[in-house]
Amino acid sequence: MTKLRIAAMALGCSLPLAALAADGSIEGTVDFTGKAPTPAKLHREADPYCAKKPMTDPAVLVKSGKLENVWVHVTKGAPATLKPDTSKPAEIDQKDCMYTPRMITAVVGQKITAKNGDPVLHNVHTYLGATTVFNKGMPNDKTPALEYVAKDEGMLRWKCDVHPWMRGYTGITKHGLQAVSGADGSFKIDNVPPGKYTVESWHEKYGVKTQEVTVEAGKPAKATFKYDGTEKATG
Amino acid sequence: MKPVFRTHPSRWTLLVQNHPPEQVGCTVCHGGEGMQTKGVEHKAFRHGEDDHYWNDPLTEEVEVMGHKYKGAFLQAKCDQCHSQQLNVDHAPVLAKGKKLFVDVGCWGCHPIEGYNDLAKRGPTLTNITAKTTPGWLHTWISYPKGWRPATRMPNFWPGAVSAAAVPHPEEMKPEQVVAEHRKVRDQEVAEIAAYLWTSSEHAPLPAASTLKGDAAKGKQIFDSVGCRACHVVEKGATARRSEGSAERDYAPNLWNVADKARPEWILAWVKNPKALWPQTKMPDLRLTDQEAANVTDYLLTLRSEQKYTDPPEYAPGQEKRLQQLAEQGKAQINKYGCFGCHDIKGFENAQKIATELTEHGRKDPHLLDFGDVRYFTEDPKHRETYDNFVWEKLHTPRVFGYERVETRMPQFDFSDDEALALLVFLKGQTGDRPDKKFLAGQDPVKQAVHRGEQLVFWNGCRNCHVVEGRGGTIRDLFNDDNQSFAPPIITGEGWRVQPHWLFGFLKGPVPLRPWLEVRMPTFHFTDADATDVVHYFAAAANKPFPYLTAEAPGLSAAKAKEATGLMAELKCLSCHVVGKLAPNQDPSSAAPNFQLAKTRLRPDWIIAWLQNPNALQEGTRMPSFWDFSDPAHPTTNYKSFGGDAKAQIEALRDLLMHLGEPGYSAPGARTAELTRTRG
Repeated sequence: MTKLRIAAMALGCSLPLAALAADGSIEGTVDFTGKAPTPAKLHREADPYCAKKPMTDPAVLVKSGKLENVWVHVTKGAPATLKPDTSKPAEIDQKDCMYTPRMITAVVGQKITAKNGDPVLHNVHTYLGATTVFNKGMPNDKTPALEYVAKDEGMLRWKCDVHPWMRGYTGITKHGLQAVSGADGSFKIDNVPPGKYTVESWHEKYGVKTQEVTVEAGKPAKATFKYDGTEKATG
Repeated sequence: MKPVFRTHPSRWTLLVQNHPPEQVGCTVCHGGEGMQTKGVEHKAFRHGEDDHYWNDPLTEEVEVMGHKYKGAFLQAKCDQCHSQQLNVDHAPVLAKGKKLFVDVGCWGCHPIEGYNDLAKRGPTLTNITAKTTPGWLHTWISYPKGWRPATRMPNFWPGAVSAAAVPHPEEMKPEQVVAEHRKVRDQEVAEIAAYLWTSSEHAPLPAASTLKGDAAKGKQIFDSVGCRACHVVEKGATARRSEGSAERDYAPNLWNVADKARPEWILAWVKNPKALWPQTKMPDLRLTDQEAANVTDYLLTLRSEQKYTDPPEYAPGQEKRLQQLAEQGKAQINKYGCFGCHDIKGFENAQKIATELTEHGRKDPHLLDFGDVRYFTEDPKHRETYDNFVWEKLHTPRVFGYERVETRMPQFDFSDDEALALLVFLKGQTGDRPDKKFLAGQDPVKQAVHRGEQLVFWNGCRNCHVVEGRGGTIRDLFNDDNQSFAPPIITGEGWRVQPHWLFGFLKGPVPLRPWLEVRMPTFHFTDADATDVVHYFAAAANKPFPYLTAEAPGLSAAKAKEATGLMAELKCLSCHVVGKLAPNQDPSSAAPNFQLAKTRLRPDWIIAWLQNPNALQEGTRMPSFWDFSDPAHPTTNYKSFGGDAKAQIEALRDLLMHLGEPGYSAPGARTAELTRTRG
């Protein structure tokens, strides 16, 4: 009986330990070394509803030399066996004539929902590269949320043709090894099996940077991406 | 693994659908003796046993002057039946050859059935004194490519540029050859220029504008109204090349245009090109006098450092000398056939000077004069074949000249790609015309398509528009954020619009999206040409022409009101304009004027469009408001019309097709007079 209990305890302890030992993480920050551009005023006068809240362009958000809204994701090295969680939808709201949040991530097979929180017409026009994925009109806040199941990897770009300043971004991968940098520029990709990876950062204005990262069992691997503001996105 | 045996490529389209062997036979494509259907009609035909040489010309490797091309000449055979067609599917090399042939104006000197009536390729020279200076004229005629490398105008004195371009005694040094040819050239150019100058009408240009131009504003106009769809202004830029050739500019590169053209000419030209050259492709952008003055001032800033000195015979007091030269010039123009491409006074009825090409492709090599060129027979790769003759003639036109035969064909500097395309085209000119029932484009619909394709090609519609899936060159000037300001995609236009509207639009464009800076030009189409273009779009979209029935029943007062309510609920007017832009409306989100719908759109198209816009025009900004992914059971989020998606869409169609009539109104009573700008 005692033996059994010890065995059970050992088992109970060792399982989570093993899991911890197996996976590491990739974490770090996105630095912005150049002079941060002054955000331009958005011209939202065309729609009286949107015009009520003046806003500046959030395309480039820099705070204390850190860049927000950068999609950091693994492009090479992810094992095919990873089964990311697709049970909960990735959600986007159209609020005050802006996509909120501006950037999210999703995995292939995961549902993405978009609701219209505004009493005005928004059309949700999404692109992968230059190709339209879908384009739905949502006349007001009573319109049922639209649902789309992510099919292909890549950066799904969201645009509203009625309010041309509205831009949203959904980074989609199969493996789910991805994160979006926060207001402090930091990001953390959890549950990364040990191995060698190519990690890419993507910013809507400044484009792509890549680096090789080696993840050791149970340890966070550091990665820092640097932009100086002279880069240009190519597509 | 490389397949050894395989069946016809594109078997369904090429064989079963369009060329059933039991009717068309095999030899029409495969070559062989005569045309027959023997064998196939009994279905007991065995490839490789009952036929011989079946792989000629399909798999045969053709060697032209040491260049290998596999199966290249198969496409030449298509032209027997498809001669009227500019775009021949599955025969891209032939199509390219045809376009190039039309584009560089080969038919100007060579008579050839089917091409003889095209408009002359080069500008009229009957008013050259108003356009330029004698100094520039000399520079240009002497070596056009020296001044504008991507021009179509060929070089009539190739020996003055390179000794390799002309036959010459072996003992002569290249510099000597070039020097000799330069001497001849300078004399002949002086003579030709003198004739052109003295025969030119001194027609006064419309009095130079008294308006003061503004070059900066002119540049803004030039960059935005559409000039850049056809022209580039950067030295060496390759962005606007001709559809038939990657080597030649679609329209002149204007980086140094002020070197050439007089200010008063530029002003008159941009205002109304066809007044100065009735056959020009350049359309009328309906510039106001002030806009024309601004554009002129801008174009006058585009000049190089080069100097163009007028030759001494143009000095006052030298009139007699100039006249003497001009008399000799007349003979030179006769010799070189300048009138093949240009209108020149005194040559109105001159005959084309070069070999007839209508049956050129069947010429036996023995009938071709290889001159003193001997290497063909010595090198087994360089035999005296038709292909080698044409290839060499295209690359080095003077190569076969000798003391008894003077060759006059100018040098076009064709690339190998261009030469192959022209060779394929020429090989197709056999004069063989199969029975009429086999000829393509005999029914009115196909004829309309073929004629329309020629007009679309000739007028450069694709420089601005995507037409039937191809074109839209100007879109490279627009980025992700301002794509909506680019000229519209008009694939499927014949399905979208009413023929009568399109006819009127082509004859006198009324801006559909007045907020766009880029303008649909006025092409001054004849009624016949405009009708052909309309017919083309209808035929290309597989729609009847002319359009007769309009199925847009009226609505009861209550239903009309309900439809207006639905239009309000969907907020169509967030983008669509009624009359003119709403106060504060951002032009980048504006969409076509609803008031034009009833005269412009086909009612049946409106239905298909509302059901799934992206299916009709990929990437359109118009969103879908209904889900028709299951067409039998569409879904709607809206309650009007009993929550029936189909009924909702039909009601919107009916409202649009009657908008403005009593009882039919857009939400918010937003009606306004049609703004006609730049008309």
